[in-house]
Amino acid sequence: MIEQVLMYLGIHGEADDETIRLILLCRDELEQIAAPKITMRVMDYSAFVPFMEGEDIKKHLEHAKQIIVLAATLGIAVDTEIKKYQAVDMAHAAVLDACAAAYIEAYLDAQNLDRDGLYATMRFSPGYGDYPLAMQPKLLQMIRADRIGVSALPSLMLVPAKSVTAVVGLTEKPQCRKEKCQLCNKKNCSYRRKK
Amino acid sequence: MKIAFGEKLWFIDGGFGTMLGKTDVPPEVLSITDPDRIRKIHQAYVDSGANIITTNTFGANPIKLAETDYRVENVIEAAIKIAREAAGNRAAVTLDVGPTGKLLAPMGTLSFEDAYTSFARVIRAGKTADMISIETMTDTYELKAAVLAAKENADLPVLATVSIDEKGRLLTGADIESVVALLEGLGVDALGLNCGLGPKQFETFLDRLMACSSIPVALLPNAGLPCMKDGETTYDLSAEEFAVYMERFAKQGVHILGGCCGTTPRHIALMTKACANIHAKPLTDKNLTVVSASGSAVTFGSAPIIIGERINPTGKKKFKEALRAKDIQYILREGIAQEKAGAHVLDVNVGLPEIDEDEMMTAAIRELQGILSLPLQIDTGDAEVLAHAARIYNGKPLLNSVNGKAESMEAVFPIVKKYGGVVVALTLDEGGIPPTAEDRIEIAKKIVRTAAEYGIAKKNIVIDALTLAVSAGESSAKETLRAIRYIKEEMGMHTVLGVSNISFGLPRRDIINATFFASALNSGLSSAIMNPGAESMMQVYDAYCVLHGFDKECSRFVEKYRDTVQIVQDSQTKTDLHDMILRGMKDSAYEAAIQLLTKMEPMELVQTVLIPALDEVGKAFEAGKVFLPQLLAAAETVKNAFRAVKESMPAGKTTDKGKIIIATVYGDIHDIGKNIVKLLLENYGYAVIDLGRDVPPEKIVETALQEQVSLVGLSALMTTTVVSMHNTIKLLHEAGYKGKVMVGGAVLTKEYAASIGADRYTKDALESVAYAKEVFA
Repeated sequence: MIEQVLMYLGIHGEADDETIRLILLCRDELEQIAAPKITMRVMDYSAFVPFMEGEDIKKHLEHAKQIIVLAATLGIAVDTEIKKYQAVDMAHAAVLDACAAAYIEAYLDAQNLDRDGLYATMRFSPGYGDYPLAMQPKLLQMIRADRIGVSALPSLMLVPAKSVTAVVGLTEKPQCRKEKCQLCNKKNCSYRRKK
Repeated sequence: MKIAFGEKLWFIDGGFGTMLGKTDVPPEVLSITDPDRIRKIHQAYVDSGANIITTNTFGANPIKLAETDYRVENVIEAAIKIAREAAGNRAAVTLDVGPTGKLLAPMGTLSFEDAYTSFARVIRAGKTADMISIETMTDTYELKAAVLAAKENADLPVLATVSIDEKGRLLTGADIESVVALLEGLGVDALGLNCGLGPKQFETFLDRLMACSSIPVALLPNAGLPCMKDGETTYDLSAEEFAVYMERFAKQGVHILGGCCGTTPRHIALMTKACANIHAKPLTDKNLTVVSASGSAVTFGSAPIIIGERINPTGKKKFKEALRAKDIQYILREGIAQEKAGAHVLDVNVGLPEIDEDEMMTAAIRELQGILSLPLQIDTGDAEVLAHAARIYNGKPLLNSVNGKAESMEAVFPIVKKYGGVVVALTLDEGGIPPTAEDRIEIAKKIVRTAAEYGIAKKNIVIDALTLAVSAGESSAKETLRAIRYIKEEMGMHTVLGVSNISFGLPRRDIINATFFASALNSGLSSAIMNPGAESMMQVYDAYCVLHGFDKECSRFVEKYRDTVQIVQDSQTKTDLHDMILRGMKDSAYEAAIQLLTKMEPMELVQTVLIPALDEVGKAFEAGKVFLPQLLAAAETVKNAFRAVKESMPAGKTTDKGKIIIATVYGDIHDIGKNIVKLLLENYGYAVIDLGRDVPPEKIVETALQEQVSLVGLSALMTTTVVSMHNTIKLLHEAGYKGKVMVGGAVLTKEYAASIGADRYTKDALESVAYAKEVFA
């Protein structure tokens, strides 16, 4: 997780001791305040067809027999804590923010979504490639994400901020998951991984 | 059918969606388009023995129905009619009220007032029901809006139930005790839990729930935990297992039983059969004095409670200036510092003759409760301000204060009753403050008697036996202490005291204060209004908690004091301010700046120490030698040093190099980037007007013209909100704004920024500073 946090903070190479100390502190804080929750729905490929818009989601799901739509969140207390630190200690706020982003990714990575002899693909979210952000509320509604407290603002931003929606395909053969960065439109992103 | 909770058991129906299956339209609309389908479900539940039937109105509110062509009133009237037809005279009908589906501000964008308006419309449309069920609430603030709407727009019994997770908390963090405090305070008729979990999980929280609730408790669990079967959600408990749990709950004193997701008429039939011969266990008043915030509750009577007194302008020049400048950040910093220092409750007093107290009080409360989980004490002499603040407060507040004057009681008690606070009662009346304990006790008794006439229980009053300066009368401490002991032992009530008045007029007030505080604690004082930053007082408190068994295994004491010797040594190592900034030693910077200001002029300090150090860190950052956390730590350090500079500026002089507006654009609520830019700009001496987040374009334009700024900085996180950024820039130009606009945010690029009419794309906070230097050169 620490490696991921350093990346979010734009730290390439050695971080100083103070930053590492702060990251460890924030990680402990998150253990206390984060209330990670996930909700999902598994459906046949055909049931998901109305939710496919653009080419990239189709490509992502092309070998899928079944589809999982999921939403996960760290809960609103994390947002509050980040906001609180912004009033008194911006360095702490920035590190906590980065840690929370890494935390939810790690939480999702830890979920084993393989089922019924099928393999889960990587997660694909609204905003990746040409899959429109406007799908956000539709996916949330379909899986009743309000039950874990996740909703979208009119601007399509998720609240709580540290939340994720994603579409995962279930395929007969395991899929290479490294193409995530290549699908993204943000070509100048500093996190972008090379092929 | 008339409902009276508390006498007998009531059985509510079970899951509705489970019975309905898949629908093409929102289920609420079916009351109009397919009433038979709804009626059949109601009928099945009436036949299964439920004596309360829930209307098909869970999502029938203006916010959720906005996407349909149906009016709330029509949907609700139709739903009640169908439920009545099915219920006949065998069951009562309850109006089902679910959440709006939107998160309330400050985390979401729905205002408390708009949430109230939405609920009020639902309640008015459903007034012909026999009672109201506010259910599946996951946010105490939304819950409060719903209950207020129910109480103010109908005269029906109210049952309010919330949905908790496996840790026993609502989605917004509230625990069971704070939910009960809030709901009992607001005067609901019954409360409890529904949805979210199965009976097995509810059972683990039942003791806690029963231990704090003095009113009838309801449990409406799901049929176990959800599991996926063939792509469908099912629940893991059979109807038989479900009924076993429910029978046990009834025997333990739960008065209202029913089901939620996954339960069917069969679950309810088995449940009503199993509970048929169980008598409702009589209610007991738990007699708890509790205040609450969005996250947690504070109960009087175990460890003494510290009420932080720092948010109060009396005698504080800087605070007064902050209030006049509407500087909410100042209040937040005071609040956070006191929480860190060990306060359990925060007093909030913003009374200053020349400001709008109502506006300031509500703003302060909204901001404080948005980031802190401590309960607040609303401190004002103006009953209107008190009422407004109590209304928008997210929890059960402490209200400061009422006294023995008839006029005071008439003004304050209705507010305490309506909003369900705990009120501080000062033992003074028309005759002033009596000198003896006996006379103060008489006033306390009078206040308790009068409160009872308003329906306010003794447990919701804490008595302030008042402290007079010991320098003005040598028996004054003794009388106060006698009164505290009597109120605790003879009246069975809790007390509060502003401790430090005792030393007024004496040197070394800390010595007197600490000793008096220890004496008061020994006399049974329940809570003290004091400065949690006052070291000697906190030492007394910490030691008291150890000696009286409030600090298990002395662990808090050991944690706090174990390393204090070392800290003293650390602070003796000398470091100059320049190094402090480079190393981000923000806690020492203010003192160091004060020291330097004895030797140099404020502006000289800024030009020769602060700016060069900051430049050095900035260059290292740009070179990739230091990273964001260190840059920000340095910036916080400069900010603290700047505070000292500003305080020492001669009147009328300023350090400002120019005014800049910054804002996160409309629709966007992610503001950490904007706040980093603000911090750095202020470091370099610019006066930043921070309009916050989710700011409408009109407000930015209006402020830019009014304040005649030359630079506006806008932040947007997503492609969807860059649209607002574009609109804002367009509107600025149309309105004749002649200054520059800089923009930043994750999805922006130089080209993108130019295409929406921005003068400059600034990649990070330092580039914003560089551009500001150009603009103001």
